[in-house]
Amino acid sequence: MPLWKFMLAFISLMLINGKLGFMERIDKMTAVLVVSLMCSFMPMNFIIIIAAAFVLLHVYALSLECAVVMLAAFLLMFLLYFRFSPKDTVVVLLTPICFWMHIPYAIPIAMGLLGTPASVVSVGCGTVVYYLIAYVNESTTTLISMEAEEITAKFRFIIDGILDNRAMVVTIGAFAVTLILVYLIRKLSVDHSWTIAIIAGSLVNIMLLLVGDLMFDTNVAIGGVILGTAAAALIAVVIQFFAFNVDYSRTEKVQFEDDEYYYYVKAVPKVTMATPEHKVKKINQQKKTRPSQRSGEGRKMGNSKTSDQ
Amino acid sequence: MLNQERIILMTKMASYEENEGKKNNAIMNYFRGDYVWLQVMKSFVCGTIAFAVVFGMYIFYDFEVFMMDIYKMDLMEFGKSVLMKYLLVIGIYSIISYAIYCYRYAKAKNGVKLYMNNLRRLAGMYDKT
Repeated sequence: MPLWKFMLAFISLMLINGKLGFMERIDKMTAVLVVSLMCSFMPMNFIIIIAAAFVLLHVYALSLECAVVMLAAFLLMFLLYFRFSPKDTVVVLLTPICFWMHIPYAIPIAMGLLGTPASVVSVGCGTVVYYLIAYVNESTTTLISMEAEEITAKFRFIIDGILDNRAMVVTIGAFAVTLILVYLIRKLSVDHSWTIAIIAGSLVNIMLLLVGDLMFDTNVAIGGVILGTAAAALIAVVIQFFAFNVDYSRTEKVQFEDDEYYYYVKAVPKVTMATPEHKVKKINQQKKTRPSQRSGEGRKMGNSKTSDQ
Repeated sequence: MLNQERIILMTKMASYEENEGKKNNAIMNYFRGDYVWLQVMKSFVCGTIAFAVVFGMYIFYDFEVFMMDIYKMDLMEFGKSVLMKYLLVIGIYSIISYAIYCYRYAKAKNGVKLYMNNLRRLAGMYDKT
């Protein structure tokens, strides 16, 4: 677990430094290594806070107004949503990472397989963070060229850029629908529900992004969408392989004792299967006798057997 | 001799104690009313800060126009409309928080009840041997 945390922190901070990199003091390998090492011993949410701090520091070096907008966005996410669901904060970090690695469509499919419908909010927040950073990156020259006194103008420029970003809205909508669809299909008690969910989710994702492009002119590369979704489906198949049969990520080691033994137990949970339907089938029907045939001893009742199928 | 049924039960209980059990016990330290209202109060504070952030951004977005209009506008009406929006947002957020934490309390109570039942079953297994 510390190794995974170190890797996640290292990759995140390297990508953030690569994409932003405005503050030279933290844009160094030594700083990234030291901070990643620190993150490996801290709770998972500490990595998110450190990543947010790095983004804010880089953006502050570029423009104070950018940093204020970014801080406001992070505060809103953490105050309104992540106090309910602190486990989902890692998705806010993974979503931009997947965007930067050109496999963004893996996130809604993976979260549909592994998460709940509430994960839509975390995926949406992660998408907002990505587009915010991308917009700041694209607007670097414009922001630098603006006068230092034009505070309101800079502020308005950044807010307008985020609110008018149709590509972001279409992406969030497509991801939300894909995630919920994948979740609903994989919950069905049919054979190969996970595989059907992955395929359906991938097709719906492509369809929604293309329809969004037609309706809102978001300039999405169709080839990129199709290839990206195909890569996402492959990643989802790998996740299915590891998570469906036996969920090794939830392996637990417990120890306890009684009067006779010490027990050291490693438990690998299976994924919960839907309980089979129990049908009750009566084999011998009750014999119905006419009133004239009833004897003084009473009506004879046939035996009825029930069986589970 | 190892009793497999007992081991399976003890493993499930140990796993519960390590994971869910800690969270559930922390929740069950409170009465239902106290827990839910404490969490709703925290949501109230978070919601107020979030509203203040959004309101601040809204004012700063058109700050020059706002400063020019401030002497012309009816401040009481403006204050009333801001207050109404604040109460609406906080009201909705508090209701959602109330529902979520009521559900969590009920789930924690169920978890603890199940654990106690398993404990009784385990004690029964030891009594039989």
